[in-house]
Amino acid sequence: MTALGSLASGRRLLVFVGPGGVGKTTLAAATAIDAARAGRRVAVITIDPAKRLADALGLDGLDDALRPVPGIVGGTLDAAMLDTRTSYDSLIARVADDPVERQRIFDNRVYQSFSRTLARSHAYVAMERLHDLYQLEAHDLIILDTPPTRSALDILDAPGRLSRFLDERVLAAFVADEGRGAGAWLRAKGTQAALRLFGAMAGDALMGELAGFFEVFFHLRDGFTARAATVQAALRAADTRFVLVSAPASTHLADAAYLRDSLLARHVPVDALVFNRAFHRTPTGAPLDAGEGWDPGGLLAQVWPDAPAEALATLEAARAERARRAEDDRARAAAVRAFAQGVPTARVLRLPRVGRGPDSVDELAALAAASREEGRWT
Amino acid sequence: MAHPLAARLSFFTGKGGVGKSTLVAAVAVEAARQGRRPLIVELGHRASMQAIFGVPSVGHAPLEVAPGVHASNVDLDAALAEYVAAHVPVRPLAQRIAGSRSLKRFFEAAPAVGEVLTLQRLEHLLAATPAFDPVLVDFDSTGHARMFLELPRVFEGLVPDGPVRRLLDDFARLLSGDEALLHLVALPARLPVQETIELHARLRAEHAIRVGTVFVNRMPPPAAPPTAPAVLAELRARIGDGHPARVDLACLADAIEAREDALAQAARLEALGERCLILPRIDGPLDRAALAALGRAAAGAP
Repeated sequence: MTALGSLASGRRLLVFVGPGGVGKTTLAAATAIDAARAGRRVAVITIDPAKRLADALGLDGLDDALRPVPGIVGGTLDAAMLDTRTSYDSLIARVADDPVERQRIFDNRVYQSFSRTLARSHAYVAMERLHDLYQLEAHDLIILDTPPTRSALDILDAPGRLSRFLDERVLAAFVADEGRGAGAWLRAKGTQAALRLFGAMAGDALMGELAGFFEVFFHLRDGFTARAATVQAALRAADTRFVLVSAPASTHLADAAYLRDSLLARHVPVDALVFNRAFHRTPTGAPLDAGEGWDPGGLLAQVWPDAPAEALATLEAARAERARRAEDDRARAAAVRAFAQGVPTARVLRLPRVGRGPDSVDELAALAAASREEGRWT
Repeated sequence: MAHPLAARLSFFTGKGGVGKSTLVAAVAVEAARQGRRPLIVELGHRASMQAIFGVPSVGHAPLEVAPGVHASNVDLDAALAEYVAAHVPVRPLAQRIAGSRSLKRFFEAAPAVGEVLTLQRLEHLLAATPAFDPVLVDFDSTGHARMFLELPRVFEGLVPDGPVRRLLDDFARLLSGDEALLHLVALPARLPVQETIELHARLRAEHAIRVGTVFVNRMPPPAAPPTAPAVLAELRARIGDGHPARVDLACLADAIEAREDALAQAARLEALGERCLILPRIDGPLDRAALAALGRAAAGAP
């Protein structure tokens, strides 16, 4: 089994979290391909707005729909990249039976901006998709890729946040009399003094649209709360694991540490820490710091007595480059060790730096395969 | 096209992991060296500045993280209290509003509230005395930056008057004026360059904000004298596979190739027609001296 494969072994839901730019999406895709080739029925979802998964899987313009990835032998792999607007529209289309009602929602300005542009909506929609996939039970393994740090926490918090709000009196008051919307809200008593002032600050038009927006959710409330509970349970199920991916550079580690502590505070099972680009590859697999003990001048005298001057300069540059890489690897290993002390129960996997990101399913599979020989568990 | 210190307000954006925060920190250090009073503003749950400057924690209130350099991490709860205090002159009432659980829940769930509060916070920081100059905003991703730039448009017609309207109008004016710049940060690698080119095209088509500098970060230095490729094959043949020096030569060949790839990617960004600045990779720890050197390279006298 490959090192990436062992992350997925025995799991039903695997959530990849980590700071941006550490190769999280690539590793999620490689893990998915690896598990699919091992015979499992796998689905991978990315909610990162950048089209990286599409690039890596060679699927141009991968949209909201779950699609089979071609070229998988053994099991199956379906991939989806969440487009917030499409996902929301299809959710509304599914739950709002009445066409007039449906159109009213689509025309709502707050709904439009919420579903198209605003960050938090990624979290809500990811939750919906995860719920649908989980309930579908058509896959043995679901891999959820997440956007960088901040939004990854939103995914954990969003279900609770919205359903908590939906349960609150504030919403009940907000849409107390469905026909009167914001008017009813503004006339309501109690804590509504605060909301009234906010209305005065933000303007009646926004209040009206917000009232309309929350009415949408008011109608969806029961279903939404139930789905939120299912997703919360799935995220904390016995066969669910979180994989925290980082790279060993100090700024990545600072963001990753914030995430690590936030996950632990939310009682999320962080099973593995994966450090991408943690050390340099060597052609023979020989450790970089074992190469000292020869001298460029002496070696050259032995093998190439009449060498031109640039041969010595080149050999010296080669030595310097190797020493630089060895030093870099040592610093990174020390940083990883220090970081891992924060999660003593997690397994730690270090993966080598590769020159160029994988471009195809085969290259992704090769990345997973290479993790067997080259991945270093500590 | 402009120098990163040419405007009062500078936004930095780029794909995650391109070294954006480090660059913002370095530009701030250089601004302070030039006698200005820079402020770094981080958005979202980030912890970059405390790691870079080695301070225990950067909170909502601007903190001096290095001589002459301040940093602030926008906290939405504090921004909400600030917002209410600014618009509700009666203190006990303001406290009641900011402390209202219902209102807090409402804001947590409502779209766009966080973004509007962040704007309010930025305006507040820009109005501080003594003045912060420049104010350097570190966006956490390109998606986040675009969403932010689109705010005035998203709210168009939705908020016809009142304080939020004035805030959005001021922001839209600021973005399209001479006082604001957006800098793009990329690495000389395929995906970050591609994403930067796409972002640039979108900015040009959809936004009035001026593009300042396109930074190509962490350019590997030449690993060998220019004559090295000519003798590498011969050296490899003569030394043979068994000798440990073979690993050194492989490292060098790899570094030469990496440098060539990086130069080719940088050339794609130079073709954008913006002010493009290539910054060297920093080897070794990122200490004060390294940060100052990066700052001089990024924002020193042109």
